Amino acid sequence: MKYFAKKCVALIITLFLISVATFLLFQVVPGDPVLLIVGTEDVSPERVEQIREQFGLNDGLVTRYFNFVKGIFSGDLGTSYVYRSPVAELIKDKLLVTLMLALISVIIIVLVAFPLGIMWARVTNKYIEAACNVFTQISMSIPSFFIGILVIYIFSIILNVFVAGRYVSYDEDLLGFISYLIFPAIAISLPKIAMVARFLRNAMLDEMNKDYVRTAYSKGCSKNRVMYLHVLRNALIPVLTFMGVIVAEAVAGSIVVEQVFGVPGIGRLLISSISNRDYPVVQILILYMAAAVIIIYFILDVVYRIVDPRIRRNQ
Amino acid sequence: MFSIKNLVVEFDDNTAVNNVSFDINEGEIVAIVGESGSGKSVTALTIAGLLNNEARVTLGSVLYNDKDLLKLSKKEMRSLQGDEISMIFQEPMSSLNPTMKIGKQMAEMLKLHREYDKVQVKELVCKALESTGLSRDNYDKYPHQLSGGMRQRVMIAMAMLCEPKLLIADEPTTALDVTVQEQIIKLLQEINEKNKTSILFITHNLNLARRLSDKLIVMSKGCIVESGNAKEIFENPKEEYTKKLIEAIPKRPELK
Repeated sequence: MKYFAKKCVALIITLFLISVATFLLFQVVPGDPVLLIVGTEDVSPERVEQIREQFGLNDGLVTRYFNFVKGIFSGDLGTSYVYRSPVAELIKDKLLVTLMLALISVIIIVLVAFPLGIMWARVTNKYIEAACNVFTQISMSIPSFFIGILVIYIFSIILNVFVAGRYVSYDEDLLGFISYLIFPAIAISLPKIAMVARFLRNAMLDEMNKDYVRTAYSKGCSKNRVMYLHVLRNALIPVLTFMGVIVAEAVAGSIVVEQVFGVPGIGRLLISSISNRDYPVVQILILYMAAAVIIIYFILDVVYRIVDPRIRRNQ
Repeated sequence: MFSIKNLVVEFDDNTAVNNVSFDINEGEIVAIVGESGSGKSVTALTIAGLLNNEARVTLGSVLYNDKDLLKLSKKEMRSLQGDEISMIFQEPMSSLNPTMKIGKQMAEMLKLHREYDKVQVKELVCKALESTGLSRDNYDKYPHQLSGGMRQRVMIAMAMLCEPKLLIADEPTTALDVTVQEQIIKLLQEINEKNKTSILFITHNLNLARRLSDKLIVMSKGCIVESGNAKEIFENPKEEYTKKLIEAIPKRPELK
């Protein structure tokens, strides 16, 4: 419990520091936001002054930071320079899409990579081993946009199971939305599946040489029993760290795959906001990604404690 | 009861065990002594059926009640492992599964070989822990919460759960400090006397071998150099190698 409290304090401090950093970062970037807001419009100095007032750009740095934080807590995330609409509204939909895409990707990764890794660790047939090796090596080395194109080519053009680019919004048709997202999720998960399977297999083979495995055999355990009851749990410990990184990456949105499949997630929003210098949006997105990563690692830490009793010591 | 005949074990192209034969009678403690690489551990692992895939038994037999263990199927061998033949190892620190509770690891032994209900299993495991001088609280502990000596006791308690005919102890005290070593040796002696369990004791420590064993086998480079009654060998070693080994024991300098 004390550990949990300590972690929470650390979490809050980190988020505070990140919010300060992102806030300050966009203060030192050159360029007047007002010019961005008005664009090519020819405006009078009075109008400029009015916009400054409207977006709160005349206040001091500390006041503005304070307003920024206060806004976050009250649900007002600021106003987009480009869309002139509240950032919260802008992000809400896209966040949902990205989170759904992340969820589907992670489910696919877990469902495929874990059985594959275990099978690979067990198999003694050298052809199957070679096949696993080639498959993982290739899917790890193809860049994700190309995998995206391949997935579209195979599933959309050859097999005709979905129409690439015809994104279905979730409020129109939830099932259609999910089944459209499965394909970008495949593109996201393929290289990760290869990495996790390889990682799990290596971890299991490492564990197989440990002394406790010999002890298990000396008790009369079968190979299956040794694998699933003794080795797997120990091999999962290093794989968990890796899974944490993958989940964090997925939750932050895949810019490339979203672009290829025309999925309106936060990855795409981030790209367009950066090129439009839409700082209020970028600021919030960065804060979200940082918070997501920290929270995922925090959860990972808790899961670690469950899986590995040695970490629980002294608590 | 156990009879090892002309055993030859090879790794790739070198012979780890060369034409080794000896008997282990009921209730007997047999010690194999030798330097590292002498083939003593490989002999033990062969009897326990724990050789890895790289090793090949090219000749010989391991007879247990006139059954050749080397000819048994994997499944038949598994039913003997832990039940009739059990083993404890050199490294108590790493010989237990770090993510499994002590009690569960021990209970697995009974689950594999006996048909008891949960309550009986727990009771038997706790009793086994107590018989090796550990408290029953250790049932719910993880290996890292125990010291090396305690873990070796757990290993012994676990190995003895099914009251095996043969306990193979592969350098069980080498990784432990001297006082703990002493306690473990006493425990093994007790087990031998109480249950009439035969013990195959692998060590490089001649003093321990002399104290503990009825029969002594000296091995070098995969072959048996000399074997026979432990006391006789010590008092009257016949082979040059054995003499050297005995001379190598550090002696307390005479006080003047």
